[in-house]
Amino acid sequence: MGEEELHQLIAGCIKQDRKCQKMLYKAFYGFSMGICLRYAGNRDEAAEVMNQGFFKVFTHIQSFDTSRPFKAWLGKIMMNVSIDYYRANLKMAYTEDLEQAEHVSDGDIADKNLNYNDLLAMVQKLPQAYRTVFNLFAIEGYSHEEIATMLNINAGTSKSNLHKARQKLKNMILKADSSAGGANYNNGMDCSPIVAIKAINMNGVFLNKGIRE
Amino acid sequence: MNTENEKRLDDLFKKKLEDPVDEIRYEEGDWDALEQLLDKPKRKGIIYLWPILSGIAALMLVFLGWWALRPKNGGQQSSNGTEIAAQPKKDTIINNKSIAGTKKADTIIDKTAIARQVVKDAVVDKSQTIAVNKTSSIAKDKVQTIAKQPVAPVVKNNKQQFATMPVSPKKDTIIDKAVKNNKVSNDAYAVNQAPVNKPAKTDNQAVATQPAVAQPPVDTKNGLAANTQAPVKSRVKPQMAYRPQYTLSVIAAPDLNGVNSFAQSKVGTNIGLTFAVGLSRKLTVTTGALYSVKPYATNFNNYRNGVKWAVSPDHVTADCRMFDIPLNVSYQVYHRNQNKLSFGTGLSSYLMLHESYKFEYGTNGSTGIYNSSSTSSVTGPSTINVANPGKYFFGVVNLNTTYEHQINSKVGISIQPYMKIPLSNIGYSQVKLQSTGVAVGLSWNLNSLTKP
Repeated sequence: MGEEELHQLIAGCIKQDRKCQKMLYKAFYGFSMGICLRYAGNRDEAAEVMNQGFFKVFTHIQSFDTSRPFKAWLGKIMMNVSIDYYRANLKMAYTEDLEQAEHVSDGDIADKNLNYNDLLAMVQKLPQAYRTVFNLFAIEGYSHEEIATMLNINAGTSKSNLHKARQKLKNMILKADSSAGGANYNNGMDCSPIVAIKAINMNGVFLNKGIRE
Repeated sequence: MNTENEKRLDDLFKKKLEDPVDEIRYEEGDWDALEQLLDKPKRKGIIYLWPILSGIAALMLVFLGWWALRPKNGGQQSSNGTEIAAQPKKDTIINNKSIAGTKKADTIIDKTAIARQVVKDAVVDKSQTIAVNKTSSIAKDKVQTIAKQPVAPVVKNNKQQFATMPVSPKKDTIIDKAVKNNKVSNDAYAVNQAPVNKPAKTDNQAVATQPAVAQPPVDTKNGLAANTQAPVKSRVKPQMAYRPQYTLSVIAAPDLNGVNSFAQSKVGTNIGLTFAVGLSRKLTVTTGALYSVKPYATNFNNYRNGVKWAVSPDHVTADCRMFDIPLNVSYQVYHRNQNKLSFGTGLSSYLMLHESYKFEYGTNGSTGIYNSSSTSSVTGPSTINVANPGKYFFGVVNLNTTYEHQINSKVGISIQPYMKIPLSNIGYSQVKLQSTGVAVGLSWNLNSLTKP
């Protein structure tokens, strides 16, 4: 989308024009959903949070400074809405001992062939507190001090949550690898007992050091 | 995990998850949901603005309360030309003695008539003269008309007879609710904060990995067997709709009672039961019944029962016992761990059970006109017991702040500083009786008895 077209859309949104709102929504749907999916536990939750974000965007769009990049502003709103959601659900926060995760041996995780959906599913499987910190640190690039302020926690808690998140993710990656016979990590169709296909796949994995063809 | 590995892990996720536009399909249903959100009638905003509105209302009430109750200087008793002196007990004798030229049978004497007499005697209670001068011209006509009417012998009857006399109109509190519906993002927050959690979806991955367990472990490189898999716990609690919370409390409250100000306040006691229903996580409605003992003392100036006294006592001491039926709404502003803080407001109805008044008369020289012509100390009635105490519905505004501490899931304690500000006159004496105190309560959460 060209800069000019975007500004026209924004101008339309300021006038609360529904068509412009929808066009803007469609144009940035993927970008916004991408952010919300990382913070949310599942797609429905992400869609709900994203809509809250767009609601804010449409009700506050007159305060947007057009000289600044819209995408960054939108991304920031999506992140903030996700954090708000996390805060609102703190009572539901899940705490789990990491006994099992602690003893995972270090393996090479970089060359696993995992696609977007695999990785997203892993992040979504993290407990909310870990997931939020992991997102803010690893993907958004905030420091522990900044995260501590944002989430109203200690920097130490942030570090600890990040560590636990990484442990869990690594565990999941290794597990995904060990069960690579099931093709993609996220592919739920593979519980069908077609042994022959699985066997072939497994052979492929075995011969190819875990890299799928 | 070493730092390098950590970085690789982070990078892996960052690279794949940072901007996955191509991976996400647009869904029309999501736009529909947002459109619904955008189309919500703006009037709905008033619900979200309720906490703000009630805050404004509470502030206005505090201001009105302060304004109405601030101590008045030199409060004069307003004199009404139509009021008739009803003198219980000794009045006939006194009148005959003191008022020259009045007919013997006249037991009703207009104040002005008496006062005029007194002016002649040149011994005048200053304050009364002023009152008289203001009204004498009107009163002159009325003395004649009223004098013809049959005489009511007892105070109580007098009251009934002149019940139609103008009573000071009740003060109406008008709260301007027309607060404009601004585009506050409250709507967004309100929805946001509602802890709606979708039931955890059955994870495909979990299913997908299961069959692998049955097969021989393939990855021998790391020596990791597939059965290291930990059981997948459900991460999100199932969605729970808000269930109304019921709380029963026993409360006791010492308080200070005073008329118009707390300058002459006396300590009263309240004890009773309250029942609270939580309408939402933040809003609670409370009602109950409290037995209240409210003694108070006040200047006679504040005592208005529609009857003019020939001899004005200096002070009135009242002992009122009543049922206080409150109906309050409170809004929770803070909740962490077991501690809650909320602000509340509402109205109380007073159902009087017992009212008695004691009158104190000043010593010689201060009681007024009669001492001028009689040497004996003259007094009016010393006590009045009201036979049929009244009911005063929603005549008092409650303002309170409650701090609550939950001891366990069932039992909690609360401390509630409160203030009761009268909207209308209360009791036989028609006083603006205000109270302030601290209620201490022990509450019992009834919900924990019924598990969902």
